[in-house]
Amino acid sequence: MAYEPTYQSPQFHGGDGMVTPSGSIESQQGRCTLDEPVTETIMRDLRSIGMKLKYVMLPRAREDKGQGLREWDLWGPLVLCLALGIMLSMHAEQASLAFGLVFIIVWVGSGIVTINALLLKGKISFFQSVCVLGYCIFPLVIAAFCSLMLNVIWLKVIFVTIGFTWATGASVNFMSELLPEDRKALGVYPVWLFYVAIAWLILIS
Amino acid sequence: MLQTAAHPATCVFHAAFKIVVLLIYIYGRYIHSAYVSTFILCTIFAALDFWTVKNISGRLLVGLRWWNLVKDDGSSEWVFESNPDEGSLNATDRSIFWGVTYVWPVLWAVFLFMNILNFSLDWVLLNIMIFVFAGTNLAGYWKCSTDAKKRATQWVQSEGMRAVAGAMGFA
Repeated sequence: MAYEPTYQSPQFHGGDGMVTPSGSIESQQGRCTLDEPVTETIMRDLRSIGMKLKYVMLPRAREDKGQGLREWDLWGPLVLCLALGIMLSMHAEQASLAFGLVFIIVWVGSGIVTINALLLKGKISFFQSVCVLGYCIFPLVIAAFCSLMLNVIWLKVIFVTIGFTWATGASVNFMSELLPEDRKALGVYPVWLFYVAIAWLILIS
Repeated sequence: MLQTAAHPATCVFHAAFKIVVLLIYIYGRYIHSAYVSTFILCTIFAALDFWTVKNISGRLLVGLRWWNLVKDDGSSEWVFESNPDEGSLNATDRSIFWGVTYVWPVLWAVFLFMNILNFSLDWVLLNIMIFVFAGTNLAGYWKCSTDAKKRATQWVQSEGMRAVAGAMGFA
C-alpha cells in the first residue's frame, strides 16, 4: 500500500463518522514533507534562515511588527550566538569564561525576557519570542565583527551604538505589539536591558 | 547488520554525527583540555545531528515527523506526523533508530551528572546543551509514536464498534 501523501483531517469528515489511522493533520501551508528529498529539506531550512536574517536587517521590520519572523526556528540564534562567542573570546584572557558568558547571557537572557513578557499576559509564543530576540542580535554581531577588525576605541563605541539601536528597534516593535497597553514599558525595558548587556560585553572585550 | 537495513546510509548518518560529538568531547575534556574549540565543534556537530535526526532519519527510518506550527492568530501547535503503514518499515532500521535515540540523552545525562559532581561548571554548560538537543528529539519522536499508537487504537475501536453495529443491524 503506497503511503498517500495528501493531508486529511483526522476528525470526522464526510458525515460517515470515520476516524482514519492516518497521522496527518491539516497543514495550513498544505505541504507534504514526509517524502521530499534530503537536499530539498536542507535548502528549505537554509533559505528560511537567510530570509530571516535579511528581514532583521531591513527597516521594514519596524512597520509590520516582525511578521516575517513568525515561523520561528532557533538555528539562527544558535549560529549568531556561536559567532559572537568566538569573536569575543578570541582576544580575551579567559577565553572560556568569555565564551560561556556570551552563551549564558544570550540564551538565559532571552528566556528571561520572554518569561517576563508571558507573565505580563502578553500573547507571545515562547519559542517565537526567543527566535526574534536571537535574530535581532545580528546587528550587534556585525558591530562586534567590525570592531574586531578595527581596534580603535571610539570607532568601537560608534559601531556598537549603531548596532544596539538597530537591534533594539527591530525587536522592541515586535514585543510591544503583543503586550497589553498599560504594560508595554514593563515588557520592553528588559529587551532594552538584554541588548545593553550584549553591547556592554562587546565593548569591554 | 547493515545489510538488512532498508536505508543503510541514513542509519550510518544517524549514528555518525553522534560518534563525532562523543569523540570530540572525550578528546577535548579528558585528553587535551581545550574548552572553546571543543564547545564550538561539539555544538556544531550536535546541531547537525539534531537536524539530521529530526528531518531525515526519523522520516526515512521510522516514518515519523514532528514540528511546530504557528497559526494565524499567533498561537502555536505541535504537529506529529506518522506513516500509517507500519508494516512497510524495516525492523533493522527501526531498532537502530530507537536504540540510538534512547541511549544518546541517557549518555549525556550521565556526563552532566559527573561534571556536576566535579564542579566543572563550564563543561556542565556544554552537557546541558547537548542533553537538550538529545532530549528534545527523543521527546518529539516519543510523542509521535504514542500519538500514532493512540490513533491506531482509536481506529481499531471505531472499526470494531462499526462491525458490531453492522452485525446488530443485519441481525
